[in-house]
Amino acid sequence: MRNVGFYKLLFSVSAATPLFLLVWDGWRGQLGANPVEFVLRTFGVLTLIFLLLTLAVTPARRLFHVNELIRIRRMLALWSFFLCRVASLGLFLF
Amino acid sequence: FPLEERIYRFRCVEGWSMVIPWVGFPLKLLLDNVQPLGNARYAAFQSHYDPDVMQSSFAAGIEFPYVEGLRMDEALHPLTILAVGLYGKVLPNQNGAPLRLVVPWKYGFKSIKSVVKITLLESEPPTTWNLAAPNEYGFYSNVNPDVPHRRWSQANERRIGEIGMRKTLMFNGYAEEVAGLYKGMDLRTYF
Repeated sequence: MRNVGFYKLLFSVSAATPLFLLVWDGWRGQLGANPVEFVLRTFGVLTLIFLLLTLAVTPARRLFHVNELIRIRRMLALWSFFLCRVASLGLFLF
Repeated sequence: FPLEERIYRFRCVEGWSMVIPWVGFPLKLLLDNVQPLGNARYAAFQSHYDPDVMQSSFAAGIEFPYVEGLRMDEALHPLTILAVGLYGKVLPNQNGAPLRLVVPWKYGFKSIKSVVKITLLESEPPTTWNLAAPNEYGFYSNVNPDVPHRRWSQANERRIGEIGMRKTLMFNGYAEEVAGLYKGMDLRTYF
């Protein structure tokens, strides 16, 4: 894992892809009958996924002896935080 | 029976709602026609079930065929209708063709689709969601913002087509017409 920048980019693009898809679907009116709920649920599920990924870093480091994984943990945590904020703000507002 | 259009609020137990123009006739007309015996206190309904075409009970997580029930006074209430269409057209399969129940003051799952059998009984019939989760879904299942579901609040709803939530009304806004049916009943016990 010499090239940390690449992995950070990889995870960031993966995290951002569903959000771009949401915008794309929304623009085409393809979010279903209850679009607000769909968007909120998507953010909720993504929050959960990224939270689990973040929390999996330490066990994975110990289990597979890849200590460098720590270098992407902060980025994963920041994504979790951002997704969580959008989800909770959305629940609060709508 | 002469068909009429009824524009009803429809409130799902999961928190969305919709305003739907049904086409149908009061269930009372049908029941009056069969002249129920004096000891008929409940009406039980059964949905069509064809395991060759439809999902299995195992996949759906609930027993099939779907069954529902009403107390006789609920079944005879003028707001209770059997629908054959919506939006001025014949019911599509997914909305319960050819004939479905619509009980606007109860959560949507009480409005059983694709009715193939109606039985009049002396005792309270089993209902599918009550069998699946008796602590979450009662026999009555009247829309009630003050009695939350075990896992979520029923105080608000999101009407399809709107962005924000709106307050859920007692008996889905039909309290004036139906509150009398439940006079003296504890709606927390009989949820």
